Amino acid sequence: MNLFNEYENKNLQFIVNYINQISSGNLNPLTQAELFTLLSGDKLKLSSAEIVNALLNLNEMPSDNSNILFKDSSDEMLPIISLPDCGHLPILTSYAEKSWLYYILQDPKADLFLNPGVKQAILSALSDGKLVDIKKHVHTISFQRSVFSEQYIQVFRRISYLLKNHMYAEIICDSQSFDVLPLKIRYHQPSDSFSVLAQPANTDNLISIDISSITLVEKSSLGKFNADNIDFNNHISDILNKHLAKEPILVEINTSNPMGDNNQSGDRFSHLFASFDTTTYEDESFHLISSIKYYNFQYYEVLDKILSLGKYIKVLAPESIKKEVQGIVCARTSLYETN
Amino acid sequence: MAKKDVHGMLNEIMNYDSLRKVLRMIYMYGAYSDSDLLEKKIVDVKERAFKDLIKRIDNYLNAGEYSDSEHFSFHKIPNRKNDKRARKIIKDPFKNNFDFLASTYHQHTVSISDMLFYVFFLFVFENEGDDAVEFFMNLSDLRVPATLKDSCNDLYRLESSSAFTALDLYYAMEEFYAAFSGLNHFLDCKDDTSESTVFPLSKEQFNAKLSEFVDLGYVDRLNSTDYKLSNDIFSLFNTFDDAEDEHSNLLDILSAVTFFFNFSCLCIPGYFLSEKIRQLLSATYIDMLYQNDSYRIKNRSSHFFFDNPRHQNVVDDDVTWSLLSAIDSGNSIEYDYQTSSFDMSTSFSVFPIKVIDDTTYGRHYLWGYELSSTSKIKQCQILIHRIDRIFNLRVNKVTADNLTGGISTEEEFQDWISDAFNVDGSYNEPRNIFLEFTFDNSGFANYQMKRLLKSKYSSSLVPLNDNVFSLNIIAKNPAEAIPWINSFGCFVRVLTNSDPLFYETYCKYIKDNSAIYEPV
Repeated sequence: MNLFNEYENKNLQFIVNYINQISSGNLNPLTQAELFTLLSGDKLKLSSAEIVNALLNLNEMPSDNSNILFKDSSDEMLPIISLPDCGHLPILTSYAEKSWLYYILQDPKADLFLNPGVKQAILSALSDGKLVDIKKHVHTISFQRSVFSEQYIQVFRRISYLLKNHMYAEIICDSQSFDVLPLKIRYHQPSDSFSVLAQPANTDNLISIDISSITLVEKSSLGKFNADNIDFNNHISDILNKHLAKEPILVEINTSNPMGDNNQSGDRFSHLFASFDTTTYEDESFHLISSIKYYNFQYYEVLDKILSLGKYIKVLAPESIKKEVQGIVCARTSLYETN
Repeated sequence: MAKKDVHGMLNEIMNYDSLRKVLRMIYMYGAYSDSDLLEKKIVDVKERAFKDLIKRIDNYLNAGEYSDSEHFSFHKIPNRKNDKRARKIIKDPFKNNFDFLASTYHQHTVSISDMLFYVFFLFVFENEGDDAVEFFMNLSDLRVPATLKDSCNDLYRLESSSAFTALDLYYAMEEFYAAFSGLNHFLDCKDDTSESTVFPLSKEQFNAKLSEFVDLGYVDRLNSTDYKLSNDIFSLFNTFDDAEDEHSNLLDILSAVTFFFNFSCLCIPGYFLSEKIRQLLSATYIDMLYQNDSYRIKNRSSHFFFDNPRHQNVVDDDVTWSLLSAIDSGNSIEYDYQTSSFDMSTSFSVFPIKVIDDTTYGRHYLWGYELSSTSKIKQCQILIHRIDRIFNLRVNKVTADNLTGGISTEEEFQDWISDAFNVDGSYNEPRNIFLEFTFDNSGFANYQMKRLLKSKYSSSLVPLNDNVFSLNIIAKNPAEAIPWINSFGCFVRVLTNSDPLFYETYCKYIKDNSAIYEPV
């Protein structure tokens, strides 16, 4: 039983939806050229091209039944079979997808996204069929399991709403109120917590606010982000670029293996820094070197990760960070010498 | 059938496996030069085939819908003369949160005969209360004989909510294929000289296809003869009672699914679901979106940033899913397990009990009993294996029921797992570790204090006086506890009344650590 199967294909799903939409009258049929573009993207990939050709019966070697759509007199592509009124082709979901959906709905975090009615409706639809109870068979080891209060859920949902609509938010946090533009919601898995990365109004700063510390969120009087028609995503890129540390951190990963206990240091390093943009390579003398790009607001985080890897990595550059780590490591050693 | 295309497509399907292997290595470790990848034998191909593969990855990542920026590119490696450039995936998670590895599954091609079978299979089912299926809507100008039209409209269809036998389905599909090829003569503008098609599958092939659908869960097997189409959960999404707007519900579900697949222990099923919902949503807007020419990119950007190791280190979900299914059905399994240096592998026969998801490192482990040929489970060794090193998994149809005699494996598991810092598989005596945290007023201390509160497992922190706290943790394996203690730098001190063996190990460790830097 493989997850990886040919029916979980984008083009197949597209065709099923297209037929359903045409049949229900929600969509005006598209022309062959339009369909071709939608299915294959700008640069044609071999697989998409073959699928499209097959659907439209454009294969070099004509075969008598390889089209599911046909071209009518006005050059529009219609499904060969139409399902009138409420009829629609079923949308198949696999056993694994249903089990997975059931699994995530049991996580308290599902409440942050779905209102109780929707959650219940999906749960009861799922309970009809056969499922693997993933939750029962997986044991999660994490530092903390969060329970979300009503207030937390409300704050989370309102921030997501404002963020999706690119709107300013008025946030009350530690009994202070201020206007920010939320840019990203960040999930930190080890501590199972969310924070919002935001830009305080009228500044170029970036701050990260833990959602649990926010007591209230309102729509700000500043309304919608609309700075000279700059695209919101471009704006995020611009502001992030301003906060990217000038010099990446260069570390050497110790792969020598005298005691047999550090042969996984490269592996641990890559896991710990997986959410950073890193480049790892061997230098001329076959030392494993990695450069870590980070944003200024992630400085402490990088530092604690470097410390946790201890003797398995050595900071080479920049000098300031090397000194900082060196200072901490030496101060710690002296704690034990005096004892 | 368009047989001519099938061979090429099969090649393409196989190549996706090597494509994924290369992507995984680069995701894991940052950058590899072409010659490094070849030397490491990540994929077992000759140099020329390898170049083709790299070209395909390049096309795949930098083409079409992701073309807004370069994701897979050459990158200069400093300090290296003979091999100056390496391949690297640009993976700043704030800017690029798309999971290319997962998407290779979804882009995976399909052969034309598979596609026709799938769509015809869907055509055969009708919902209760549907009108008869209609052919040629708006086709008055086509000269289709009325008799043919009538015979098509009288096609035999199966109720989507009722049971059917394999034979029912076979006949219904055969009839569809026959009617369909009759229609084609009238619809097809080309000179069509080929024979009318008979149903392209023999009964054996058809049965194999049906059991594949049962395995995947598209069809439920009710008993030895009856089947039923598995229920369409998406049909509900549009009919919630409290829906203000059906799309807002679908969008909420999409947000949830996208969020969860990025960090749950199984990524691929969630990825497929999210793409299905995306397709459903965009199908509604196809014509509008097409006119704006913004169909592809717009819905890609997520408002989430996932600080998650697993997101970048997708293990083979097929293995995890097979393990979970085997646990669910109580089957034993066999597999090959690779050593950490990936140079050799050993075969194991195992009765699996749990999958362990370690969120700190984004690693997944299998917890189970090793089976030798005759032993009862009581004599079996507990075994912990990393899932990313499991290969060639085979599920034994023989269940291990007879081996579980009288042992509550769940209890034993809970007993084993009850202490923190014991993930990697050693099964030693629990050791007490006493820690004292002292924080100053610096920004880093403030950050570490907050982090301590979040990461102390269930241990309770006792305040001694201002900024000084004591904490007692239990660890079975020092190798798991030391990195955590280390991450607090000089804000923490291991007290001398801790387990002596641990204390000694720790002192040696920090001495080694300071030896790599010159003293300040």
